[in-house]
Amino acid sequence: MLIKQWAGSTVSPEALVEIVGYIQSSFPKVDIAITRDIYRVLAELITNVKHHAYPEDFKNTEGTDWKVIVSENELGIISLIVEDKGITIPRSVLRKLYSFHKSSQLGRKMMADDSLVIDEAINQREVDKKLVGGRGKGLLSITKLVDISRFNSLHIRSRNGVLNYYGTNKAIDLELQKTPLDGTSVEVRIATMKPTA
Amino acid sequence: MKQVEIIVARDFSKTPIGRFESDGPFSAEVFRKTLLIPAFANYDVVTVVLDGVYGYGSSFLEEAFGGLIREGFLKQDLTSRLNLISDDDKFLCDEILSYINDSR
Repeated sequence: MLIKQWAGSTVSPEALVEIVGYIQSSFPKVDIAITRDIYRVLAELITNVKHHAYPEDFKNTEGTDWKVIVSENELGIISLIVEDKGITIPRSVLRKLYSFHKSSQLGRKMMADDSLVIDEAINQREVDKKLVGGRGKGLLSITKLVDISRFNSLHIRSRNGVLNYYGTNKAIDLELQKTPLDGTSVEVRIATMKPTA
Repeated sequence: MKQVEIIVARDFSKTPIGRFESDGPFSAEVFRKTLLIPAFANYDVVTVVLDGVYGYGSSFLEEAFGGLIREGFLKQDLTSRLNLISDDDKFLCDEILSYINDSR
């Protein structure tokens, strides 16, 4: 299993360019469109970590804010994981993402906004939607990349539960049980060929 | 009719990332303030060529374009004057338009 890790604390593109370059060189069969989506997911998740994972009153005992892990299993599936040790994704976020896609499968439309539900859950109150503007939607945008088959699946693990998403009209699993995980882990899986190296 | 073309990869960065100015020099807020707003202030039609970059996070796109509505631009005026080009990703233009339409 090919595995490599990066860690950092800023929202700067250098590490992302290095990660994308590593994936391109290790997995040359990965389509250029997929590498753009990988950059997109990394940019989104690392920006999310900066804005949401470590509120002012939360003590970060890690030396860095985020970690990115790239690995590949024996079936040639690339796993891209972004981890943080922050305040973790609240149960309500997992529940709302689940509800959004369940309602979509039933032909209903439901608005969901990561930032709103994160703020709502962290602050234990209904937030003023006008104040937060258009913030959020990052996790939802990643589920859409699964829907159009750019990625195989999305797996969100937090201290409060696990959400596994496999695309529109496919299974979506939600387990709202406490996990041993500190913080949050968001994983996308990408089907590809075996690496050349 | 005065027109201008913004090529993101040439005029801004090949590595756009982040939402707010505090996220860094390649953030959406910097892009909006230094390129989009001046372009809309001085030209009738603004073409934005999105190709040639590493990728766009949804928060970047939302803040760059949806943020124009929060700055006071009217949705109908904005969409009638904005010309988006993306050969790299056929979903990108619709995504941006959805952020403009959903912006509040």
